[in-house]
Amino acid sequence: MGEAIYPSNFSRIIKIKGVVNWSEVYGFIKAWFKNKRYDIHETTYKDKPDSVEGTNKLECAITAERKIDEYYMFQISVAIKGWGLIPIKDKTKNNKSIYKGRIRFIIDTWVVEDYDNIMEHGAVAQKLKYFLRRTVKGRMTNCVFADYVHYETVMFINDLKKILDLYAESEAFRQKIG
Amino acid sequence: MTAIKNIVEGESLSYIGLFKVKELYDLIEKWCYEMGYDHQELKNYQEHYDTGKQIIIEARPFKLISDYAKIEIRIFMIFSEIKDVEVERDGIKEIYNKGKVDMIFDLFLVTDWENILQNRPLYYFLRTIFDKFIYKSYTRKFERKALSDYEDIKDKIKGYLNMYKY
Repeated sequence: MGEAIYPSNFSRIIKIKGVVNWSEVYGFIKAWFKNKRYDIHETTYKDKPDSVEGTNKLECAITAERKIDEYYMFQISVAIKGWGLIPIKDKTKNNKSIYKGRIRFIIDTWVVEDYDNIMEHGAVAQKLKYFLRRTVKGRMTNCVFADYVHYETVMFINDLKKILDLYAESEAFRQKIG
Repeated sequence: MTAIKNIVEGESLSYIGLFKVKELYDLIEKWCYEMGYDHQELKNYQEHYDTGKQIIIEARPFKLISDYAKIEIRIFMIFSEIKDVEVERDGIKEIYNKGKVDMIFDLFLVTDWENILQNRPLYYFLRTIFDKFIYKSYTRKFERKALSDYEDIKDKIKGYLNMYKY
């Protein structure tokens, strides 16, 4: 399914130990990607009691894709894991999941080139593909698209930090994309 | 193979007292944006304990100064025993954070960051010779630029933290 180009060598990790309104966070993640016209694929969702009595464990994996044209696609993946989660009873009437415990978010991002495998059939086609990447489309792949998806992820992480009520969040790089 | 040179390694900065975590973080981010650095934050952990909050942040903003060289500043911040405190200044009550800040700085100069010259041993050898002898003046210029940026951000952080001593 195409070749992935990573704008950054590192995954971004956010960890929180405290009270988290999981329903709000989950709803925010889905709504954010929907607003930015990403297709959401949820490969894993587990929210069940853990081996330790009275605690829950949480596992969720979301991959969001956005096709830019017939050749390029942006992908952002969010892997969420929670452990030692103690459910807190909500005072409002709605039955929302509020947990006290540890939750970790791992966010990765990449640009997929030739997602439909147009240039995968045959040795000549593959050579043409590498030639295109190094000469004609190189700037678009390495500079324009990689940069764009990197900063879209930065904005996503910033908005996620606001929902999680983290101290360390800043709007400084919002001007890069708007 | 990229060549990474450690210009500054493990320089630390500590502070105990009043400050605002959000403002300090915002200061670093705004500096990175204004100086043309790209954002790269690897870790952002926030944990609540009885003694206060603990926040661990690892940021590695980088700047591509040419198609061959890149400056990378690694800032590892640990905020510990953070508590919210209400302080009255000039008749206005504001909420500050009281606690301890430990920062560790590293500065790297990365050459051949695109890994163009990694395919053959001959290219690697030629690259090393060029870096050490022929393009020495350029490499030194890049190092001076990296050091100047590093000193600037460190002075700004010290200036911000010193403000709350008085």
